[in-house]
Amino acid sequence: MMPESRPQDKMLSMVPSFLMLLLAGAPASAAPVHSAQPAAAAAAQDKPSPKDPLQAELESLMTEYRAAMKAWSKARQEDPKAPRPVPQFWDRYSALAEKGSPDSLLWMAQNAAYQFEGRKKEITAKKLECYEKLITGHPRFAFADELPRMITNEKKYFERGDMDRLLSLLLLKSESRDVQAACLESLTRILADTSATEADKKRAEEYKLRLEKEFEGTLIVDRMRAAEFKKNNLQVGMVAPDFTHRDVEGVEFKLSDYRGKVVLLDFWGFW
Amino acid sequence: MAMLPHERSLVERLKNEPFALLGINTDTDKQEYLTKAKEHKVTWRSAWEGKTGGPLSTKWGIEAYPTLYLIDHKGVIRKYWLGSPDEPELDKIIDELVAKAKADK
Repeated sequence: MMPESRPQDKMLSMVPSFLMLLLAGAPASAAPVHSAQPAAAAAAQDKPSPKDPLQAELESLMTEYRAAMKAWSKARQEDPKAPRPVPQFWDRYSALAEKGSPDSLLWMAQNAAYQFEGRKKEITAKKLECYEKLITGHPRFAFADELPRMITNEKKYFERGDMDRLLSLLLLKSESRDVQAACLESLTRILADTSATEADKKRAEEYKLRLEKEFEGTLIVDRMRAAEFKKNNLQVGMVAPDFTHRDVEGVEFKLSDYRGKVVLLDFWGFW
Repeated sequence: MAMLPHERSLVERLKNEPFALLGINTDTDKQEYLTKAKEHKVTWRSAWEGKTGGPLSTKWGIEAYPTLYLIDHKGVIRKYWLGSPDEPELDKIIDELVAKAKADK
C-alpha cells in the first residue's frame, strides 16, 4: 500500500494549470509528466496577457469546454459510449486558431482523434497541420518545451518520419535551450530504435553528443543524467552514493558519516 | 510535512539506537524554515537544498516529495518510497534493520 496522495504530499506533477485545462480528459498516456524542477524559464516568455481580447475569448471557451468535459465524465459512468464533447467546440477552437491562438492549435492537435473519429488519415493530417502551424507560427509558445514529448506520444498516428520532421523543425525554430534540448533528446530516442538505418543511427549519435556538449544544465539533460544515475546507483541493494552537503546551520556533513547507523533519508519541505 | 508527527515519534523512540533521520530540505526561505522547524519540533538534521530541484534532488532525480530512502548500517539502500510510506511498514523495516545493525556491532 502506498498512500501517494496525502493532501500534504507534493507529488510533483507541476503542469501549468492552463495546460491541464487544454488537455482535460486527454488519455492518461498523453498526460504531461513534469520533473520536480520548476517549469522551464522559457515557459514565461510567451505568457499571454489576460487583457488580450483573443486571450479572453480563449479563456471563456476553455471554461465552457471544461464544463462540458465535466458533464461528459459524469455521463460516461452511465453510458461508457457517451461521445466526448469535441465536435461542438471544434469550429470555435478552429476560428481562434485562425486568429492566431497557439493554445487552440494545441487543443486541436490533441483532440483531432475525437473530431474525425476512426478516420485515421484525416486525424493524422490534421494533427500534422496543427503541430506544424504551432511550431512555425509560434515557436516561442509558452509550452513549447512540452511539444517534443507530445509529438513522440503520437505513435498511433505518426510515423517516425513525421515525428522526425516536426522535431527537426522545432529544433530549428525555437530559440529556447530547454526546447532545443528536449527536441534533441526526443530525436535521439526515435532515431535509435530497432528499425533505424545507419544514417539515422549516426544522426542519433551526433544529437546525443550535442546534448552532452552544448546543453549542460537544461532540464532535459538534468533528467537524463538523473535517470542514468538512478539506474546505476540508487537501486535497492546498491550502496547509496555518498554526498557532501551543508545542513540548515551551514555545517558540512557526509552521508558516510552515518555509517554504522540505519539512515532514513527524507527529501522534504514545508513549502 | 504529513510525515512529521510520525518522524518525531521515530526519532524519539530510537534515540538510543543506531538510527538517524536525515532530512534533505527543499524549502526556499531559510528564516521561515527555521521558524516552522521550531514550531513543528524538527530536531533532526536537515540538509539545505534551497529549492525543489536543488543540487542533490537534481542529481538523485527526485520526482516527488516526500521521497524517502532507507539505508542500512553498511550503507546499502534497502527500500525507497515515492510519497509518504505506510507507517507500520516503515516501522517494521526500520526495526529489523536496527536489530541487524546492533547484532553486527
